[in-house]
Amino acid sequence: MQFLGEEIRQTTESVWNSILGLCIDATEIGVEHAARTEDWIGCVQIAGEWGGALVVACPTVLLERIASGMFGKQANELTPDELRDALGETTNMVGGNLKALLPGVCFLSLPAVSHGGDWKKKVPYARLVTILNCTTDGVPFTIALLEKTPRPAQA
Amino acid sequence: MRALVIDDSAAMRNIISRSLVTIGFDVMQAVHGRDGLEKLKSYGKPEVILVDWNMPEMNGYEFIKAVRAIEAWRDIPLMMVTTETETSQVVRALAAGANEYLMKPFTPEMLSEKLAILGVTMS
Repeated sequence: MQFLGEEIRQTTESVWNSILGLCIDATEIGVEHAARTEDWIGCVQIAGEWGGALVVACPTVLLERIASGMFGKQANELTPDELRDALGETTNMVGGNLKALLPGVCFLSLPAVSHGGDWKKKVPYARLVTILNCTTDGVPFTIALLEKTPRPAQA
Repeated sequence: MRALVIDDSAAMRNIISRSLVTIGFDVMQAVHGRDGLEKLKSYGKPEVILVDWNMPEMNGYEFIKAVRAIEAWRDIPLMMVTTETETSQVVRALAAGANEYLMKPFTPEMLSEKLAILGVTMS
């Protein structure tokens, strides 16, 4: 069962439209991750009465569009630091708005951004509760909400 | 008129600064609260400060309290621009000395409206 799927979709659309000047042309809300290439991973950890993480994963071509809009530069002028910063802030905005909808008092970490790897391994001891498989101008990206699970007992 | 924009994200500083420059402001930027305090000491009072909440070194809430603790800076219009959207956080920021609160994401029009409420628009 997905959790807060519609709310995450609305928040993501709001960030895409008002800050990035982009449209989301398709969204599928569920708990299964569509197989796709995602070069960049943004992650904010959520702690407090509800623990987990929000992940934004996208290919380089989409992140270049996002960062171009934010920095007012052509894609070929962007530095790797600017790409990281743009994804970090995008993840922070989606995660920050989501935090207000979670039960109880919660706190958000500063965003962490990585290039490459499997986002499901970025948050240990967590289960996927909601995933949005989205596209912008036909380019796919993923928004995922993971909930912390108890650590296994030490032997 | 000068504005001081404090945010640890260069992308967000750029977005806010572009909007401010479009409506006629000169913009100083700082990367966290402590840097913001240094900019105030070095360059003097701006007409408005826009500050994020969650930042390393010194966050926006701590920055506001530090600014309002100094007599000469108590009257600088100060707006939080943040993803902290809970009412309790808005109340905390206003109690600490923020004059306005703008939630991310926002449009340039929303930013202009908040500046108008603060009475710091160019026209």
